[in-house]
Amino acid sequence: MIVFDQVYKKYPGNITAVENLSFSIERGELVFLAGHSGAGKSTILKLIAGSLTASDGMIMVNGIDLSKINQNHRTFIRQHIGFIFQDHKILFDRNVFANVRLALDILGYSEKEVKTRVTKAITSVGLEHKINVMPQELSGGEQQRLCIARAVVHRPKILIADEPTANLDRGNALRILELFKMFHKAGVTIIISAHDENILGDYGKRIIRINQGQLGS
Amino acid sequence: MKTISMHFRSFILAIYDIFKNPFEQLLNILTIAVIITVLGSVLVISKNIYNLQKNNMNFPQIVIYLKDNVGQNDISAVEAAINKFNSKVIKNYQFISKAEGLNELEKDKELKQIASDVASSNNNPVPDVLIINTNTPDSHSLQMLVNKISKLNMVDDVQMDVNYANKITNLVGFISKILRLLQVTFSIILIIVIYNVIRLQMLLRQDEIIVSRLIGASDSFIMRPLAYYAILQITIASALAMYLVNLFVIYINNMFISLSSLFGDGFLLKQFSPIQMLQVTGTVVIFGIFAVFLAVRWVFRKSYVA
Repeated sequence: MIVFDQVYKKYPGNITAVENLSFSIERGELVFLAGHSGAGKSTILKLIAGSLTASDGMIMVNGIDLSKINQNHRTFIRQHIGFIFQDHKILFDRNVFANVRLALDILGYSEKEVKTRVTKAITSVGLEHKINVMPQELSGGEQQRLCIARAVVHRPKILIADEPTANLDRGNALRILELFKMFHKAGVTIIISAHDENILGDYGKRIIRINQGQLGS
Repeated sequence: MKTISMHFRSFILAIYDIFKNPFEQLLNILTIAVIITVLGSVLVISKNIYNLQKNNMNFPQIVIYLKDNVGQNDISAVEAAINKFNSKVIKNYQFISKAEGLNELEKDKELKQIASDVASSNNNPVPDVLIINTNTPDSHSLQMLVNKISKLNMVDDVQMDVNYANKITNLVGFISKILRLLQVTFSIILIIVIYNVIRLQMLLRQDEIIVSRLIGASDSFIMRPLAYYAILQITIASALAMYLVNLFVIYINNMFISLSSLFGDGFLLKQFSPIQMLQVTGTVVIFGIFAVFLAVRWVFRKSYVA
């Protein structure tokens, strides 16, 4: 489903973020990307989502070579992936419901469907009692759950989470990981990056270790 | 259906944006309206100068003095030749016979005595004359016409005040150039102001745009509410501007009303017709959509999202 083949990513100023990276992720798999801060995990996730383009090599997502597609196709790919950002990217000028509905507005869902799906997504992450609350009034863990609701509301086949447990206490972090486990059971392919491997140990899932943009041991 | 509902939602969002900060939006609308008013006023003046040039200005006359011995057949031949010449340059012509010429002289207080002596001597020295009223201030075309007429056999002399024609041409040319320059300048100012208004609006919504882009929003999804926002603002500003242009025309016409007896009714400025108002509004709306496109590109470039 996701294949990296000898992928390189260089940022302006000749800074290498990813170097000769090859791996593959199967459909319905839950994979952790582990590595210290600055190892290149976020870059890899953005490459999968099509938010960044590789400097060299091939990235295939659902059989589509991302290096060969244009802007419109990249937008299409992003519409079918759920992305949870490291810095949340919550819109603080609107309430929880309006934040979550954005993904559906982009896809042109009707008002009735938006209401049904958003309510379901918010309930699935346990924020149903905060549906009309402004994000400023949410705790860190609740804000992260809001991001998850926004990422899953359009029922994507792939869910990408960039450091979803960072800045959360162990209890909240585990609750968030339980949510991902629930989506994984529903057949969603999930890729989660994390710098703290201790929290991943209990899950018995595949861990891809990244070190300085390359596969680590 | 999906597209229509997305457009409808964008339209509602645009209205919401305008009413969310009414004071700021009013300032934007007034700024755009003032620039469109200046541009519209320049356009009204240009249009009226063109009309004055066509209908009301006294373009130079060409006076053709025929030879002493011409008969009716010769006069008809000259008229036929004039009819063949460039109809765009000649508005009309008028024949004044020797007798009519002398009659005119007798009406002149100072020349009355001489005219009466000439009449009593039965030897009228006044030539038959053809006066051509021209249709253009273009001295080059007029001079070409004069040259052609001079070559006719029965013509003794042809006179035209070339200086006057040149002055008219230069003056009209100068005013037209200034008006064109003003049109271009204010059009550019208008594009820049609209661009800046949209850019500021995008800055206010930059987070939303970047997040939308990251989760798969297409260019059109982002541009649509901004385009409606620009269209709404420009339409309101244009309506206000058209009203202000009409006030400007009424004010100028009141100033000119005392001069109208000298220049005739045509000297009053004419207002924009409803179709011309729609044309101006339509053009400015197209400017606005172009500005939205540029502003969106600018934000995308800053968002680093592929």
